[in-house]
Amino acid sequence: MRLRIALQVLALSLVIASEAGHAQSPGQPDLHAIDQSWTAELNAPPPSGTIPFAPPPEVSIPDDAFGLMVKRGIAIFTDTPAQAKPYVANGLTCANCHLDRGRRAGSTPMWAAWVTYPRFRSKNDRVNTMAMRIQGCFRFSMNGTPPPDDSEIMAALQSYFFWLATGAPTGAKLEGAGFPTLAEPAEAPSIERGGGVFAANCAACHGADGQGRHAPGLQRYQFPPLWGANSYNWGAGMESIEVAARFIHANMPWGLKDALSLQQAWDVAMFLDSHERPQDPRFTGDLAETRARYHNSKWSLYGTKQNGVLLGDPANYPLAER
Amino acid sequence: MTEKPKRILVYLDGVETPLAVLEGSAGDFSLDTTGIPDGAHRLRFVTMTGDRVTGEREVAFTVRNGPGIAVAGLEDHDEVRGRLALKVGATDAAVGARLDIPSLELHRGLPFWMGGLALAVVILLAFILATEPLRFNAYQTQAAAVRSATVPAAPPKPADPPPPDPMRIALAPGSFLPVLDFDPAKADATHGGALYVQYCAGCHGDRGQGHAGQSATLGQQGIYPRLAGQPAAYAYRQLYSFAKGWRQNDVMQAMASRLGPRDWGDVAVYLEGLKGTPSLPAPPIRSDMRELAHAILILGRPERGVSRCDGCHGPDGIGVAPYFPALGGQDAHYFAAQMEAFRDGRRRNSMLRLMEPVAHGLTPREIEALSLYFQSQGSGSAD
Repeated sequence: MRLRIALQVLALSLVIASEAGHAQSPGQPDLHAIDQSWTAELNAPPPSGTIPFAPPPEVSIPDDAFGLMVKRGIAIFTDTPAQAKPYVANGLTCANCHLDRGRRAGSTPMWAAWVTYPRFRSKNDRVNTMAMRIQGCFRFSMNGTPPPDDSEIMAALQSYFFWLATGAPTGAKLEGAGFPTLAEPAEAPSIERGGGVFAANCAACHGADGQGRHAPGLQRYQFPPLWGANSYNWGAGMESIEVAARFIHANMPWGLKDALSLQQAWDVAMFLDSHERPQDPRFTGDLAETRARYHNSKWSLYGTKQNGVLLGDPANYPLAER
Repeated sequence: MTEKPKRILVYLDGVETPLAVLEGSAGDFSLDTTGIPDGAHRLRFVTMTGDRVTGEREVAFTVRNGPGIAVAGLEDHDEVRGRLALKVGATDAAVGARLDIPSLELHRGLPFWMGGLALAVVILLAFILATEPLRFNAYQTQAAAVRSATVPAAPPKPADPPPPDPMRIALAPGSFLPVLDFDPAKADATHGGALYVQYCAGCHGDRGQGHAGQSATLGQQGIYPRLAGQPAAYAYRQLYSFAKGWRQNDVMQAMASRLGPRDWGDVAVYLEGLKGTPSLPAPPIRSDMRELAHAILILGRPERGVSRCDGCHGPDGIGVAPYFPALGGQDAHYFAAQMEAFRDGRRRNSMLRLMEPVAHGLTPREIEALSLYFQSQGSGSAD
């Protein structure tokens, strides 16, 4: 445990050091400014000591009250807008980012996440339980509101994650946790090149307009929208160009490993982020200030004008009263 | 925002996605016409500064990768009478920027030096023919040595590298850029229906229901898939692929080649409209096979490169327009045959080549289970 804390502190101080150039007051960096916590969190693997792990098959879900809750968790995980309706304000499901119902290695699998909580996260500068982490997803990735701690939704999702991690050692770094790391691109990511990558590799499923597609007669998206009102908001992890590039490089196009080059993954991530999406719920009322606090990273396009649209302009997607 | 970037966008026909984006105000861009159906096309160039369109130009052109047809002795708008003696040449050499008709006219006198050249060619040929047996013997010896060295025959290698996928549009200048120019809104379903009756119904059934067995018109034993209700863009893409040889099937290649891109679109739209056609009675499926198939449907076998089916084909394989076909209600034999074709390279046209790792990763038992499962999802199993 001490080692983990030491590592976290080390990772954090590295991030702070790298941010020192941008920080307003070098002596006392504002922890909120460090949106790169996603990076630190997902990068975390120490180079050695990861443990291979495979989640149990679904046929082994026990036939009892707990098993029912696990199955309820799967239903919520794969059809979140319908199953957790009051808490979701877009068209995404958990499984859109945590592929194969949270089972797929290299796609932030839930069995790997379960054994690493509670943990400190710089995103909110405190030790988070798994429940708090899930609530964060609802707030940002689902552009919604966090379900209460004692709700059935929280119990069901945590039952599912716990069951997925059956037999995994607590606190272990499991092989396939998070998204694989991705080296910096040789050239700065380009929106223009990314548009080409998108048209060639992504538009077939997500649509040329990035708004996703439905199977006939179904409310749920077959292919999720990647920007716009029905996608994740500016506070979500996937909003980070680096996180998106890592997800894409490891997992997209669907089921093809390493189909895109490193540069293409960065380019297309940049292209996704050059589109407007719902407002960051942490919006302070001032775009420049919000950018400085939460989006002051190397590539972020939040607060810049792209294709005539000022990204993050409160007029585009006003924060709803919740 | 001091200087706005300039770029040139290149579009082919009515396709909304640019074929290429050139940075700056000039650039090189190569167009591979072998990926475009023969016929009339146009390229549209749009110049932009920042997000403002500053200029536009269209160039109309005709692709002919089939043989060029040169006609001598008759020109457009000639007035003619009586019997005409015409020369016609259909050769690859006749394809070019322009057809050079005079070069095909043989009545011109030959230059005198052609005689000397011909003599030299004859002597060279005689030499080659005279020494051929010697070189053939040497080859035989080498071949025998190779055969004895490699007794267990190596598995046959795939014949040629697969062609680039028509939907993989790389936008870098100079890359292979075929685009399927298909607009369902412009297709004529009534005409498509007439074509369907004429060319397709004999094997695929009067309402696109398909069947496995003896073809009514060709008398051939075969597998004739259900086509009814498939997304139009998918069906269009298949006809295109048959014509191109990306799906190997002699009968379908001949059928698709006989029709043209416009006809493919008409037939495709007609087929999509046949959604209501009931599916054929499905063979029984055991419960263990059903469970196996369902697990692959919803979870795949990621460790073997098998993505879950419903990720693209929708719940229970209902199909997701425009590109992912319905699998529910499809003939089980056809499904299994396609997995085999994806695996051995006879079918190389899957979207982004997504099906190849899947077909390679599935076991024969899993393929059987999936084929029966999908057929059981049609309306035919309800009765």
